[in-house]
Amino acid sequence: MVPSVINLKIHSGARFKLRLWLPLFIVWPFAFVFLILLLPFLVLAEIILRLANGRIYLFAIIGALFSLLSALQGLTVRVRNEKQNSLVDVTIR
Amino acid sequence: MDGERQRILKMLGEGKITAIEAEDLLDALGKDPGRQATEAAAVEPKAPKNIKYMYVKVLSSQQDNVDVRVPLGLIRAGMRFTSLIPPQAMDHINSSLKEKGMNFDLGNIKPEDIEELIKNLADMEVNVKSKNGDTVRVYCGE
Repeated sequence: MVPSVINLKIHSGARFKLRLWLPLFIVWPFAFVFLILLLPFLVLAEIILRLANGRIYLFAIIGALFSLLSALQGLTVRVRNEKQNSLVDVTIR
Repeated sequence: MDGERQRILKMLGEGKITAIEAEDLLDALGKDPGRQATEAAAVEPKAPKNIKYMYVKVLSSQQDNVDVRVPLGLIRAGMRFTSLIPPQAMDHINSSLKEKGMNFDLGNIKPEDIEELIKNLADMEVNVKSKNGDTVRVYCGE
């Protein structure tokens, strides 16, 4: 499953607070349609690359990137300093 | 067996061996096949853990705290990229690894090896404590 939401929290003291909720699930259908539209060009590029070099597999790269993107689900990075009351929190769900 | 124990104790008494060496020898004696079988039977088999994440926790004396949770699926996904590395670059990587004392071919890593690695990560735990009170803990869990 590809990530559906990115939560971003940034606090810096009492002055600055940022909280973002990025709904990736809205982006994926558009990305999918975009990929479909790009497909003929991708196939053409793959053929040219195979003929020219024979070692670059465009679709394999896209597949690997997709699996990397899917594996990002569950990643959490949280950095906070209690003294300065600052926080950076990134969660991919 | 008792004779051997007495002999070790006698050597310890005479100062021919240290207390630590005597302890090691007595331990080695205690691990006879019959006893080992009893110990093995007493240990319950561990249920395989379904680990999903690697956790990195850093607590500094300056009160900076870092918590990172990395999905282990990233290792699997990352390994897919090794098949996409051009042969020249792969040779360069392998020779660099060899220079650093790691003599293995990255291209030979199979998906089964990765699964085995991930399975065994369940038992891994790294704890680092510095003099100034900073601590780093790396472990895997669900």
